Amino acid sequence: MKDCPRRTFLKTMALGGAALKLGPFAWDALAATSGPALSIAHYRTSPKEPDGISEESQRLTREAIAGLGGMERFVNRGDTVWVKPNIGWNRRPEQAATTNPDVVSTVVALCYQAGAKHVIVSDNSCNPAVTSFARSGIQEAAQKAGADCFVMDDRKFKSTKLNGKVLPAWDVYADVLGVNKLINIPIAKHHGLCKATLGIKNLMGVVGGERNRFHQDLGNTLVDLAAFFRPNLVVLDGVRVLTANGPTGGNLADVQRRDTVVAGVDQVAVDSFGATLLGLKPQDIGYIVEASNRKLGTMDFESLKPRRAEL
Amino acid sequence: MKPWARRTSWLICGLLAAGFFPPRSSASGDGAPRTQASDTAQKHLLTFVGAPLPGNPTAQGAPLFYGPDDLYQYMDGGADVYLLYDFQVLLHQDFKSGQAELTVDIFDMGNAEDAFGMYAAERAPGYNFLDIGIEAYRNEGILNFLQDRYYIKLAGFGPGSDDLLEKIARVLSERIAGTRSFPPLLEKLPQEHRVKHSEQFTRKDPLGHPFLSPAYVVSYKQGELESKLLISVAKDPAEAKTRLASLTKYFRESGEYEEALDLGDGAIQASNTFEGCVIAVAQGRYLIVIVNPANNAAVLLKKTIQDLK
Repeated sequence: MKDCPRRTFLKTMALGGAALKLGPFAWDALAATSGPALSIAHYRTSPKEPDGISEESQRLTREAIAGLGGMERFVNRGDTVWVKPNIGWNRRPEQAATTNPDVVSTVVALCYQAGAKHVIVSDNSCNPAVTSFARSGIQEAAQKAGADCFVMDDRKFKSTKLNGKVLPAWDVYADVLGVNKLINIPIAKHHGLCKATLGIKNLMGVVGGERNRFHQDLGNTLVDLAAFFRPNLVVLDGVRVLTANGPTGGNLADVQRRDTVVAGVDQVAVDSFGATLLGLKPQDIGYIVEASNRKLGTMDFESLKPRRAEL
Repeated sequence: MKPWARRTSWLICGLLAAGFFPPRSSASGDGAPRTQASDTAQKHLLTFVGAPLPGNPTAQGAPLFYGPDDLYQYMDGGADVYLLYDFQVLLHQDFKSGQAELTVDIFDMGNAEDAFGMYAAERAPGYNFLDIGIEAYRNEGILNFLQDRYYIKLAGFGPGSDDLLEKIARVLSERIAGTRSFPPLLEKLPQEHRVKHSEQFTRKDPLGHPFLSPAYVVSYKQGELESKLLISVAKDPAEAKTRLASLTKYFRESGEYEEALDLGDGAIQASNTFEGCVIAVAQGRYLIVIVNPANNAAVLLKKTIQDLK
């Protein structure tokens, strides 16, 4: 046991070194690996009424995060947390192009219960931001839960070294780099270009610049972002899933219920499971394969022995 | 409302749409038209929304224009499919009428064939169709339609918006005028067993093969079996035969193939584990391919050959 302090010291130094090398949230991401890595909550019924769906979304979110050991595992007293939903589109929650607002508000509430000092909810929208924030219901829900939810300010994107494979540097929203926890809350949906928008793709919403350039090599650019940001926690909304005509969607005929929320610390595993909600295999999606190849996580999500809850 | 008051409110709406909110050239915000062509296209698009619309909606800002260079700013990765169909200009404008909030997006795709291709890429046979323009469909909060070289997408939120969407769509359709028919080639193809609203126009890599581009694809269903009729459009008969040769070579290397002279001169029947079974023949400047053919596919093939002559 004499060796323990030295071992602890070495382990700490190793984690610290890795964190410095890997990105702004890597320290906490690495520290949070001690515990279940993936949790999947599914609702047996599929309520049709708005109140029922709202309750379902909140319960699924709480259960999925509880399956990882609770929000306390990820958020400490006094933390400032950036919550990153998909608020990209001028769409109502039922149209499933943006993250379910009840999933977002539940995450915000759990952050405060865990002791967070300040929770911020924002995204770099594709459609006009003011209407997207309002229409998605996320702004109202997040604010009611006590978060700051504001449209990003173009002047705050700062060129930041990412040291990526194809992105040596890119414009990152400076405030994101100033917080100490990042929680990514994507919605699972179809994407015409890369087949699926999941967690890794959702990270495009914390960067600026000419994001269309990403599309020339989407696999590598998205994984460069994933390697840099490494969110502390990913909570994937699979309550309603847009199965065609994504990312914009709009037609309710393209929306199917999956009644699922997934939480995980392995962003590749979360996305790999998310792919199955769209009837795809992880291997079908280029950026998941690339992220796996770069050892950011595993496509074999079953190997993590996910904790499953049926509600 | 008295007639003069209605006229005045229309005038105000018109001024708001066209005057007080001068058009802006996309989110990049420099206000300068990128090219003369896009400038002309923008002015033409403005004529569709410049006059009052049903419900006297008030413009919530200037119309925004997006071109091929910045469409992604409006729709991220969704832009790529539009660019594939040679998208030219988008007019985007928000309106409000009472509690109803409306969004009008008019995509100028440059020509009717590409407009059809883009529209068809986003619709499915099971949608709720209605008779506006060449084809239209709606659902709660949306109404999309195709007309001439334009793909029009309307969205509405709030009480009364669904009724307004249909009224506005009908007025826009009148203003757009132009072509109100599907691409002529589709009209020629056999109607029997055709799956309604299944027609597609593919600019890139039909069946995954660049040498088949561009192509029309239509589904046919007999019982539970669904086949796809693909018409690859070459520039002349020689190129159509070259395409058939490329397809033959592909199947020779990836699976099995045999000549099927009873189906036509140079016809083949082939299969592999990816595409399954296909039959194909060149006719004039077209390469006709049936994927997953029914037992009586020869009838469909011969009818198609006849119709395309």
